[in-house]
Amino acid sequence: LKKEAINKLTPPLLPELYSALAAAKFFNEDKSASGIYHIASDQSGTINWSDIPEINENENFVRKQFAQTIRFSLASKEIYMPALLDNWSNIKSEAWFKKLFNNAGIQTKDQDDNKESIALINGYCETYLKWIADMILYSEFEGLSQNLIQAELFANKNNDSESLNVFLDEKLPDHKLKLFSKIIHGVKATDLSNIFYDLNDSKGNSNATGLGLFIEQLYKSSDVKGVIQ
Amino acid sequence: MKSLLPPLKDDHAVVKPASSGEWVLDDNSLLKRISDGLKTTEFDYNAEDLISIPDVWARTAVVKNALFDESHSLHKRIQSEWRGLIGLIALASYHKMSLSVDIVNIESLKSAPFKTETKVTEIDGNFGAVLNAILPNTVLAQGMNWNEIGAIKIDQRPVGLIVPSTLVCPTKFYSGIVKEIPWFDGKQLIDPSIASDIKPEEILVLKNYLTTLENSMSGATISDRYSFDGILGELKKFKESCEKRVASYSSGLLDIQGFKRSAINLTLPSHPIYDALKLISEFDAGGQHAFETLIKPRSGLEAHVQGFILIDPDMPNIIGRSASDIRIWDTISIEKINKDKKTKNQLVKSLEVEKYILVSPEDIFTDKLCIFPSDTDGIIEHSNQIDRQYLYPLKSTVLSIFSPDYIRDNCKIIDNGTSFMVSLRVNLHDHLNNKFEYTITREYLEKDVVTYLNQPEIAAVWPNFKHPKWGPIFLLLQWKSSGHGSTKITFFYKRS
Repeated sequence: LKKEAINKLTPPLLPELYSALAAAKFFNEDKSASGIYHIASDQSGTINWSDIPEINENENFVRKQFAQTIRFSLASKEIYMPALLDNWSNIKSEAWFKKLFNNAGIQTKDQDDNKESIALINGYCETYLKWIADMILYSEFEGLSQNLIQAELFANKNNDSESLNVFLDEKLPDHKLKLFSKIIHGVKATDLSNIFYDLNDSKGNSNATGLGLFIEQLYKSSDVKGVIQ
Repeated sequence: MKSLLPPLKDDHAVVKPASSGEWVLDDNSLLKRISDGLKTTEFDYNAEDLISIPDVWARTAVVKNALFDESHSLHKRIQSEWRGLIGLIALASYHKMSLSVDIVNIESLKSAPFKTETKVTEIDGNFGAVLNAILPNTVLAQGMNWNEIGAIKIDQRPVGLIVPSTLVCPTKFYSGIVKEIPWFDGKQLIDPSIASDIKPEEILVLKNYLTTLENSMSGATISDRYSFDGILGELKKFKESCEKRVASYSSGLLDIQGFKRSAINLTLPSHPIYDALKLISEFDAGGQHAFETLIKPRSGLEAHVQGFILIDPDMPNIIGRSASDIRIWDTISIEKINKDKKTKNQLVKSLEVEKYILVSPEDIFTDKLCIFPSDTDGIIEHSNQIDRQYLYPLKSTVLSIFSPDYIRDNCKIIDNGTSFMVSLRVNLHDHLNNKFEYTITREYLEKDVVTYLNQPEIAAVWPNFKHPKWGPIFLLLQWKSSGHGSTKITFFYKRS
């Protein structure tokens, strides 16, 4: 066996998402009937959000959760984490920093104390985006496409047969950032500037402390306003 | 990602869910309905091998497991192939293909996996190391091991292994190598004792080989009892099958006086029992040979030639016997010659040593039939059988087999209107001196008929002169027998 083959990781695939969602549904319910569950897609050869099963009674919960987390992760990775990993003196005058850091008791001088936590959150966001991109880009093949997520807006698939892998864009170019609201199909979403306004306009009504205040607000601001049926 | 399952058949019984994106509960029969509804080809145990996780020693394991276990789905097939492979070794003197065994030292392969230069440099793996890492451990007798095995080759191409678990182990793919073997059915080797084109003497040689193997095993110290008893049982059953086949022959067997070692020499690993695998024998008939189509030489030629062995491809149809059943010489049948031209060439040489000559209808009949113009005077040497005068369409070599009188009495020509049917009646003898009458025929179509007087090589014109003072005629013949070798015969014929 080649060393590369031994070290190669099996990519996540869409069928595994189905089983994960089925498990989530199972744990959300008090009981389940005996038998075999199966599921169909509406359109042969294409998977849409309407084909993804729900895990609770909230309509479009899965779609909205995916959209919010992807938007949160991408906004973090592209805009806020680079700023927070850089010298805080550069952002200390920004409204969002004052409202979500200073009000939580974090000052510019505390940067080093929070450095590790920020790096970990950034790592989580990158790992999550990589997982999504892997699942979407590896699951597509001739005869099956998906209308769930435009993963190619933040990731690329290396088609070199010697090293099949998906990698995230190191820094998204402006034309891709402008398509931020379009990354998830079938949702009414805002763009990055709206998230920025939201953060600057934050009231800070939260029980979160420390970095949690910023993270919570960014996550809330990354939500979607509804779905397009 | 690729689809793992084939599409459903048109007549599947899987009910499509009424909605999409929602889990639909069904009963436990759903999986069976999906399984039954998949568009797959039927799995044929006779045609396909077991599908399993790849293992370099899988074949030897499958052969061992299936050979002893009558409930195994591949038992019959593996048993047939195993017997067929033993037959390839035991009957190497008779199938005439080149048999050899290469000793493979598995241990040394680990450090030198490639004997030949390879241009592939990026491969890190070592196949030899893999072979060693998962070496099987079942051996029949103490003293045997898997560090050295043998690769059985026919015409330098591998057909099986010599292994300590089953003695021999057929490979998976050998059909192109053994297609001329009588106990190959077009797909796989089969039990030689049930093959059609095999002679009783060959079965006796095979049985003798199996007995030697059995005796060798009885002298060995058992290592794996299950395998040892399994192989011993298989040898016993194989022998019984041979005995049954020999008993089915009512007559025509040569008087076998014993067995002698073949000149074929195999080199095998020095393990117990393997010595018996090397003991390839031939039957000893004390110089006697078996045949069924002998034409005795004409009077006066006995000192020069023992006789003529006729091989006529039409004989099976004419006498209503199968080609494999008609014995031309010892273990060689018409079918064997039809299958492999090499057999015929080898037979010609063997016959020459014994002063026999192989003849076929092509050696007897000319390519053209000469019919004379209607105003030609009558030819007195043969009777008029058709309206026009003609020359016997017989090659001059026929005169070393038959006298002119015999030809005159036994050669018939019939005008069918659109063709001429020429026949020559002969007496064929077998090695037990039984005689039966046979007619060699040749049809001459319109395109095969010539009307020229100078037709060459016509036996009928010999001798075509008479003189009271000329008695004997000397004739030198150079007989080219089927293009291989030549036999010169000088004889004289005294006119009566």
